[in-house]
Amino acid sequence: MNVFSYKQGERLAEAFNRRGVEYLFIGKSGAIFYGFPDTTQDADLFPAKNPENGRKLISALRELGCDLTPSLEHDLIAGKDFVQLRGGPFDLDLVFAPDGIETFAEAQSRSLLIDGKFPVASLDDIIASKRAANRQKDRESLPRLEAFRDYLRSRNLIALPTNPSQPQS
Amino acid sequence: MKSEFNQLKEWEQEFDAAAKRSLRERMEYSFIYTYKPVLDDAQFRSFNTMAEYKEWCRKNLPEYLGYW
Repeated sequence: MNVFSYKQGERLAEAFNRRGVEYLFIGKSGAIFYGFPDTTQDADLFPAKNPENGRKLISALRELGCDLTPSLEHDLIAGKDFVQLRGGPFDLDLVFAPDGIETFAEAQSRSLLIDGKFPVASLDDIIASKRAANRQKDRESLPRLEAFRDYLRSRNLIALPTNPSQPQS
Repeated sequence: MKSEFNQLKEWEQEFDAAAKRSLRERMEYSFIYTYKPVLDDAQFRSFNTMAEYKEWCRKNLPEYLGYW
């Protein structure tokens, strides 16, 4: 089992960009792109939910080495709210209708391109989504995640530097 | 039991430490493999609605995983 890595993130972003897949990183994996120090197993993606995007997504996932059955491909095009992928190059959760977020377009308008290549939902949207989902693991992680958002704001940052050039005191 | 103030100071120290690492390093430390029973036992699952997904979690996942 390979865990998600920066290199795989690059491969994913390149494959998705080539096909014009509309998506955002979301969830704890999205927060990690902003610099949130925590652990997770899978990458959470918020793809736009429409048949055309579903077809592009299938093509990109195939390129990445995901083993997609005809049934799964049907689901990705038909428009499910949630698809969990295991058994590919890394674990992936596709959340087409995250709690607490009205539309993909709205979330995209508030998103940020991290390191010039990773489109990530805003921290406010990530927090709103976790608050609305209200799972035990969300309730446990929310105070620290909100403290991280406040930490960035207190330093006039929207994300931690992706490549800090000098050690900070 | 940590006070709220001490907890925040501790978190800020963790955020400061993260700020000294590159995104590549931060991702290396953050994405880890932990087997989750039931959840990781199928190649894929899809749900029509988030409500359906949550109901599946409630019925099938151990409580300690924190998915409900």
